[in-house]
Amino acid sequence: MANKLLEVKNLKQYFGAAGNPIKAVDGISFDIYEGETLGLVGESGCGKSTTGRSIIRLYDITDGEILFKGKNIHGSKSKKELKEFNREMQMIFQDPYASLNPRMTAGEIIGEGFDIHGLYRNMKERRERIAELLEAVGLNREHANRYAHEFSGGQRQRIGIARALSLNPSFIIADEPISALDVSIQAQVVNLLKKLQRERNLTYLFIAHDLSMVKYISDRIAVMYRGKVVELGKSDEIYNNPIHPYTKSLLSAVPLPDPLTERVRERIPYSHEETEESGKLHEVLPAHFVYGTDNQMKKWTK
Amino acid sequence: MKKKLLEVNDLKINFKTYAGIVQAVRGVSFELFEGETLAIVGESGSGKSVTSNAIMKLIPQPPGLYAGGEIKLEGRNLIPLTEKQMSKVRGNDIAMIFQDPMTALNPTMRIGRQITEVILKHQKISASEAKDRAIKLLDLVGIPMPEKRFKQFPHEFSGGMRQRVVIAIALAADPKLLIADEPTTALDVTIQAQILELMKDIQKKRGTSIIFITHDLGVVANVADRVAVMYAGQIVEYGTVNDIFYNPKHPYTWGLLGSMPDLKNNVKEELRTIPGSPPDLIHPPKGDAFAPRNEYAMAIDYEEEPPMFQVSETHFAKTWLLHPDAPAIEVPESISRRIEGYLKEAQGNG
Repeated sequence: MANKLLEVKNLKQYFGAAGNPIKAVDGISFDIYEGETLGLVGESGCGKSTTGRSIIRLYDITDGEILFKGKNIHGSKSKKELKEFNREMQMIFQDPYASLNPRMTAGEIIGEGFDIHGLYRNMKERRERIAELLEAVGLNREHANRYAHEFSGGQRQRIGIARALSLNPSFIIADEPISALDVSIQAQVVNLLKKLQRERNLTYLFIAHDLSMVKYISDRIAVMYRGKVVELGKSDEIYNNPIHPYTKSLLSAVPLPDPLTERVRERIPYSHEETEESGKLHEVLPAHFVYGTDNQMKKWTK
Repeated sequence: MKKKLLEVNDLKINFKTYAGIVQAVRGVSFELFEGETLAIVGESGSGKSVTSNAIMKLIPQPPGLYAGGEIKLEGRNLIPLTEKQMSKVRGNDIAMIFQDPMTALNPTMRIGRQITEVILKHQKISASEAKDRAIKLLDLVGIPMPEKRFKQFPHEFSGGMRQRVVIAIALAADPKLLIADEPTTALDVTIQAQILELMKDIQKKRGTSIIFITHDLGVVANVADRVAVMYAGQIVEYGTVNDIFYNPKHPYTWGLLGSMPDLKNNVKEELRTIPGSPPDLIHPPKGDAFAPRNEYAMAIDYEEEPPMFQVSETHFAKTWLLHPDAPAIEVPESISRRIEGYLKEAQGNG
């Protein structure tokens, strides 16, 4: 069994007034193991991006604990510890147009981390490192002198990936990294992410709403709904044997490139029912967790 | 035989830019029959949205220019029509649903008025009759409590509900042709499935013809009767939905199919990608525009543009691979295996 790289314990992230907060993330727990890809899926507003942002410390969390390599990431930290943490964990954003500074060249964008962390001895080494990164993501070293607007959407996302890799992180949060791209470009970026994972032993949290790509890239999938993880398990298990009615509904809505199946597709509607008692995660099968009350679990697993 | 509603012949659209003339649509021909759905698929910049906007005559001139061809709606060419004549066609005969329901609605106007406005423009009926019809339309598109919703503003609706309102507005004057430009791209999958069901349901009830523009092949398989695959301003493959998904002939179509993960057969091999990026349409390449990205490209692909080869009565593809003298190249193995899996399962289900 691989080691736990990240442990999220009862994470809560509320926004707005304390009296009537918006519970974006409402007590979720999961682990991410070294070298795996955990897919986080759910509809817009379910709290999946908030979860990612809380993990990388973009928000101060309301409650709960996030341990990275056994250390609490929201605990008080010295500047040095903080820098160390920032090197280990990086993020790739959804919009490759908005996430690159238009006034910086690709080389400056990728090299910014080197400057902050002082990771080179001389300018020649810095240039060399940037060139290596560009080549690792399938661009040319000549691209270092170009500005963001000179690249296509897919190429920009590659620059975003090179920037995330620049500090040699062990953990990358990819927040909808392919949603803004064309199908053929999506495949290029997904192949690249998989290749880099193999070569550099990276761990990914892959946040997306497109279940088909998530299923393809992830080892395990967590399904979120209204700020809660409602189902968590191996990708195949979630895909072939969903138990929570929301997961079933979500899966039944994904169109496949197969007209004969599509003609007989039946969508399973989901209506949320509020329960008196609060539910919890039940391990229905080994490593397959479902959120619900005891009564609900009985009904669903019948 | 079904009646032909729309016929597009050799349509060419150019745009004048500072860098030069962009040939966005380079000779597109297709036809649409009554009550059917034609899906147009392709990457961004392939000309699919320009084609659909051209049918609505929504291309601003200048910088746009109808450089050739004709668009015939029930035999009548729309291109020479004046703006005044065209405004009668829009809404009445052809209506459009846009990608972003947030921007397609007027935020300062109640939903009800946005619908009755269209009805009153196109039909001579009283305001109260128009209101009744609008409420019926809201009900038709599956909006609960239509009387109450009639008086609300767009911001009081969710994304999926807003798209339903947009569809209700498009249907207000009972058009024969509905053009849907990526109507579900901005929506969640569950909402997307509901909107697709709604559109199919309306088509069944009213016999509307639909042109559905999308880049999502799953959606195409779900809604389309026939499919046109566009690349670099041209249709490169054209056929029934079964032709395109189970017997694809163009390497670009192979590339598109291969870039989607094969979920059903649970193959985790590397995705096939289309290398490179689409060509610059200011200087379209000589020969086949797809040649530089095509691993099966032959010498002739760089010399001469391929014609549309006929594969079957319904199926056409624009690639030299179909020429009798071309080497026999079959669908890549990963795709043929996937198709076999799909067909086998369909047989199993009876």
